[in-house]
Amino acid sequence: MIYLALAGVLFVIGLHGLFLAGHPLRKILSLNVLSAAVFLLLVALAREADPLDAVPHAIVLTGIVVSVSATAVALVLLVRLSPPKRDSKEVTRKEGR
Amino acid sequence: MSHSHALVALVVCLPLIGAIGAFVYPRLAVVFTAVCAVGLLVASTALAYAVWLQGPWQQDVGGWGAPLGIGWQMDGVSASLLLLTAMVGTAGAAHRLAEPAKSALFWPLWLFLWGALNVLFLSMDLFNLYVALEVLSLASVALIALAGGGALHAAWRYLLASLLGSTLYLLGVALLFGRYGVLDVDLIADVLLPDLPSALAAALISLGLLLKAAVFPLHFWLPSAHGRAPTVVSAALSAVVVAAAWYLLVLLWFGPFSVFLGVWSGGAFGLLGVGAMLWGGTMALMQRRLKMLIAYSTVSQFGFAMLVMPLAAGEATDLAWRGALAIVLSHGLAKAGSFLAAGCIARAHGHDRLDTLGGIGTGLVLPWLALILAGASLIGLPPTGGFVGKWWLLQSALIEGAWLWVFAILLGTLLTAAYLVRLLAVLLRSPGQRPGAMQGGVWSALPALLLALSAVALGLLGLALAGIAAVSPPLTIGMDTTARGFLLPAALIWLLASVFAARSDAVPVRRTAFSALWLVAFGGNLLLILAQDLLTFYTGLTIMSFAAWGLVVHERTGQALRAGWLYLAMAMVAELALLTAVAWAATEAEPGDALAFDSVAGSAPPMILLLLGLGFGVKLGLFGLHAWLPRAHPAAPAPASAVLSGVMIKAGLLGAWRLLEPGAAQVAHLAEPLLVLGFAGALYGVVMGLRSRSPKAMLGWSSVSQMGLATAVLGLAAGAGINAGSVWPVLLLFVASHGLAKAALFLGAGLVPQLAGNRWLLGWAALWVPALSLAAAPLTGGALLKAGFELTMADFAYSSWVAPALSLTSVATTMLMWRFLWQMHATGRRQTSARHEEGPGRVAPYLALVALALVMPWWNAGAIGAGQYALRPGAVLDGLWPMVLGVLFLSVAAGSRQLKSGEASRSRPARPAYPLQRVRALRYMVIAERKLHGWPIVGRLVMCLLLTLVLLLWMG
Repeated sequence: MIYLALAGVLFVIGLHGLFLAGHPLRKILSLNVLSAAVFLLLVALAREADPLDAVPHAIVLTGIVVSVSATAVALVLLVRLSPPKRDSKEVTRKEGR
Repeated sequence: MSHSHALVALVVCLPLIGAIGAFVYPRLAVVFTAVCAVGLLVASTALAYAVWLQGPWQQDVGGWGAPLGIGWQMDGVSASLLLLTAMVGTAGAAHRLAEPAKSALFWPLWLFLWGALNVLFLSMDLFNLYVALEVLSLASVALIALAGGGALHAAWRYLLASLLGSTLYLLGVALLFGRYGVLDVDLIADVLLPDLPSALAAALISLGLLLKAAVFPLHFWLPSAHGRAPTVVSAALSAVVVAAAWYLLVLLWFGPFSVFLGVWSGGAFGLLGVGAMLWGGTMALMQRRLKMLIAYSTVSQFGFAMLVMPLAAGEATDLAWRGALAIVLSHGLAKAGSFLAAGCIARAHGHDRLDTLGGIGTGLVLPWLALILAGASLIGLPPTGGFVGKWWLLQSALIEGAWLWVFAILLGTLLTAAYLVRLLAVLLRSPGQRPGAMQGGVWSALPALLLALSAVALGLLGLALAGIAAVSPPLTIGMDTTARGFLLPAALIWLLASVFAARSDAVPVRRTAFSALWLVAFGGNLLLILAQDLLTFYTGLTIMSFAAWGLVVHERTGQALRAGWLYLAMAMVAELALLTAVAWAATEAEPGDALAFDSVAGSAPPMILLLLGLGFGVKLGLFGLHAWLPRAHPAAPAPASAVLSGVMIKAGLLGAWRLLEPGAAQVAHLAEPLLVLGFAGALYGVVMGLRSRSPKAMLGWSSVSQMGLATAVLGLAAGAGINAGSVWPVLLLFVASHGLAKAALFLGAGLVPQLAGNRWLLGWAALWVPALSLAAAPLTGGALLKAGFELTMADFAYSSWVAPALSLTSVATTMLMWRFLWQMHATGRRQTSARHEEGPGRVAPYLALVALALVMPWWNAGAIGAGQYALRPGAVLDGLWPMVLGVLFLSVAAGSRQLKSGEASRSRPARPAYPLQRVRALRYMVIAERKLHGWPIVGRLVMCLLLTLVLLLWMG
């Protein structure tokens, strides 16, 4: 079905963005697009089954949760990686080895 | 719920609850972690024991069966990995306690990591595995980022790579679910068909897991992530997290995807593994920082583990599985131990740059010891776990005749040895800038040491368990005629040399290290003498050789270090040759039978005999392979030289004899070449010895010469064929007379220059006895040896030229010994002021050895009537004329300048690491590696690999 093809296209777009985008934020967005592609695929597969299969929906819900957590970690890392705009009020905690 | 089911639930829930508790109550975090660590260690051990007793089992979470429910399983592989995780987790937590740590967030993250790993090893449901993988990645990324600074970039790259891997995996799972409607691994294994959607799914899942396992060429994130993370995190990541990804890959490929596993697909994975081994090893060689070196070593070691795919797909499935599992487990223990030890060392010095890292400073003995033991396991020296794994993998490759994998394993081992030897170079450096004492005292290095010891113990355990289950040759020791013959002189020399060494003047510095190495070498020597099969012999030989290296470089002079490098290089060559030969021998033997010498000798093809000859030849100083001998033996302290030349060098001789004795090997054609080689070596040794300047160097060359004689004896044995046993008395005479005489000479060479007055005269006069014995003067052991040789040889066809050759050797040795005695006399007289009063401590063992050198051969001479032969009046004259000739020649030659000029100093530069950068090929490799770290290249690689895999799976 068209949604399956769309999922494939989205996946390729996500890969393209991840590999070739320069800014880290675009890489994070590409990862989200990748996850979205997989979720779309799963939902489309669920739709095709007769009667409607609930397991892929459960997978997608869990996947969204995981995706959100991963995006949150990535954003925090991104913030810590960016050069500080003002005099560092944030104590960069250096752990040492 | 039965006990085991409860344990499984505990193993998952305990760390997760502990993590939440540690996060909510940061002040009690350490308590939570300690409770979890103890509980998990106990539970994992109990589970492993349960699997050993009752075999694998499966259970359903919540009582809901698949396909709706999630299935968990427990089998040998997952139980052992679970135990590995528990050990590394506990050791890491203990190490962290000793560190001056600041962040309270470490503990909950650590426990989350642990819990995720446990779930991963238990789960049999594809989506459950995805969740575990994700929790694992997020916890790892956060733990890496705790180090701050440069680690943040590494954590970022790791996060992106990890999420990409997970998403690829999830896409594959989704495709599989869409095609078959089930997520349980076993159910999919039942229904999987080799069509295009399944091939695509398998390729995607494999690619995702390859990314997570950092298999070449997708390893770009690993070195900086593991190199810059906090110590404990690097240990856990390298040891277990990468192993988890490998475990999943193997689980899936030998389960559902086994329809796709064939020659081509297995070979593709194997090639990736070979690339990882070679690329990772070469990159490790070029690293400037200790932790980066260890991180690249992880890339290289998992290349070995990837070889399970092609090897287990072929015939020797069981062997390949066991080998790969042993490699992964021992690598986990050894790598975690190395990282923890490196952390201690780096903390004490403040940095970990290899070129400025000092040697063993105050209190850094334990971390360096851990690093050395872990390194031994990574190289694969018996009897460590790494050896057991590599040995089994080699066997399976040999069974299939897959020479590509055999060469790859050997080359990978050589590279591993090369980069680990760099660490030895650092160790031998003097601790220039005094490093700060290790924070946390001795205890902070204890986890590292315990892990490294476990890696060694794993090898012994593996051999023992496999021996019990009769799938692998056991280790056997025992006493037989040969052992008795070699043991008595060896024991006497070791005893007297130990008494000598116990005096503090004999070994002035670093006595503890010397004693430890001495004892280890002694143990290895005993083991190889008492060994009744090839495997035990090989184990003892390796232990002895590498401990002896420590003895050679003990004095840390430039000459000693250079001699040590040459010794080590040739020891590694011998090691690899013997490893291949022992692996081959194991494939020929019945499973569970010991590798008895007669069966090995009888059934070995020429190639294996060549390898055995190479290995034993290097060890015995065969002419052509002797380059290390005259440099290494004189460089050691006096008692060490005595045992090196007196006893340890006989190890190669013993090995060769054990193979020739049963007369089963078809080597009769080797008799004449061996005789020629032996006598040529004997003469060459004397010529080079005459050109040397120092007495000890002359003694070293004399050993080369004498081992040439030993080679000739071996030639006799080879020629005797079935009656090789008749040559035994000659060999026994050689071992007794040469061993004792040479040991006495080396002790004297070390002792006599330090004596004063009458004692000096006594000592120098006592030197005459062993010197004359070597020169085969009448009534000495040498004469008995010559007599024995002539008697045994009377039946053979070569008598025509051998008798004159023997006399020529006698002449030559006389010249050398005369020059030696002259040099000792000259040296003694010159250093009048340096001599000091010497108590009976060192003179007594020396004199005892001299006396034994005179007496012992007579005890052994009865067997062939060599005694009577040597005592006939004609024999005395026969013995005297070569000596007179020798003295005459020497006096004539002494006038000439040639001898006086002495040996040109053949200084060889110490093995430097950075001139490696000048090699152009290696420079290109470093540039290529840097390019590999860029995302566009990674992208292209991912797409290429994906297409290749899909094509392989669909077509194959």
